[in-house]
Amino acid sequence: MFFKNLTQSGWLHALFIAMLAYPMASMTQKIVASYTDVNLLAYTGVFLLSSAIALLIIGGPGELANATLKRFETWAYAFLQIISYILFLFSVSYATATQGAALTMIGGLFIMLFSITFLKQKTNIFEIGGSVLMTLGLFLVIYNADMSIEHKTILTVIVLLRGLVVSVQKIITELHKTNRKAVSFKSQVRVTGFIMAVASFVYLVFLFAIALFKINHDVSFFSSFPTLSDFANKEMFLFSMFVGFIVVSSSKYCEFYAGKTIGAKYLTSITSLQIIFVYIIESVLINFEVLTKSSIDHSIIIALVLILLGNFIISMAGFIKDFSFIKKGEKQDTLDNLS
Amino acid sequence: MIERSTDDRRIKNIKVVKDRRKIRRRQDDKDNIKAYYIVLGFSIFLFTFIGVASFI
Repeated sequence: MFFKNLTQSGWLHALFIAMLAYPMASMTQKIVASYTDVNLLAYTGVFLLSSAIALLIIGGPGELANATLKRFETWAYAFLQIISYILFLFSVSYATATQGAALTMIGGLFIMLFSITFLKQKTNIFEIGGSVLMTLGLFLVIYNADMSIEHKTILTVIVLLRGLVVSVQKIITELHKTNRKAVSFKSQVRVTGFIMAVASFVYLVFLFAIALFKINHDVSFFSSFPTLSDFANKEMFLFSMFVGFIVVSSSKYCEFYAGKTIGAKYLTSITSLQIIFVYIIESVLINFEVLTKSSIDHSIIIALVLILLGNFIISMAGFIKDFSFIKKGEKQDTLDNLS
Repeated sequence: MIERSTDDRRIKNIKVVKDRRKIRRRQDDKDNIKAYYIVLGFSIFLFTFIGVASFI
């Protein structure tokens, strides 16, 4: 009974994303980037599309389909996806891989602020403590970055903007009206499938438009964007099909389920812990000589530990708060305080 | 007599509302199925198109 309640609570879904789905996706991305000449943006677009197909087939026809297409949140999620990737491209040109990983985990800080101010969710001393640690970590990453003041300012602005965009996306998983209305497994999968379908269409249309633009114009900013021939790549297609059908579809289903049950705040702090599991999987793959050892920026290890610790404290505070409800089989409404 | 006719009208009104609700629900079901097959069809078409272009 307890296990059933725990499964329905959304905590296991979030843990699945952090331990398996996200690390597998980032490892596959690393393999694709290291061993093939696949364009990562085209690869992302196709795996979003294949995840939508998998989810729609499992969900089947039924309720909430049309309503999901018409929801403002569905389209907002899709457009924010594009902005998030563009900001990601900007950030990697200024930061190292380790700095990038640390800065990505900062999203929890923004969601914390949003959930207190807009969603009127209560917070406790542990969550505030965790946020202080994360702020300290963010400050250390930027302070220790080996770059000019001008570049540091640009990096800070990009990080803040990306944090904002990713946070709004996560908040959408919590607020999305048809996602909250979906009760059965099939409805939940169907709603997620429709959101992913819209996200992949918008993303692919955007990439195709840039590819067409690139035929006649040479703009340096678009150099990392795919050309039309980048979409016709056997390796890209096979990798994205595998990742989309298995990894992304299950992770997106879990993300939307956990978003509405445990809330965006705890979902983000748990999924930020993925870096530990990425490190474990990477070490195994290095042992089997599938991957080569990547360099770690040791100057920001303390900052990384602080950010991780902050996220861990926030997620544990949330789990302990939910534990008594899980035992009784009750569900908490994260939007209870919104009138 | 007056009471009877008022009651009949009331029942008739309830039936009309119920029928309208049924029609709306049926229309919703149809729209949902249509939306599902259009989105799935287009997704599979796009995916197959990229797949075929990749293997040629």
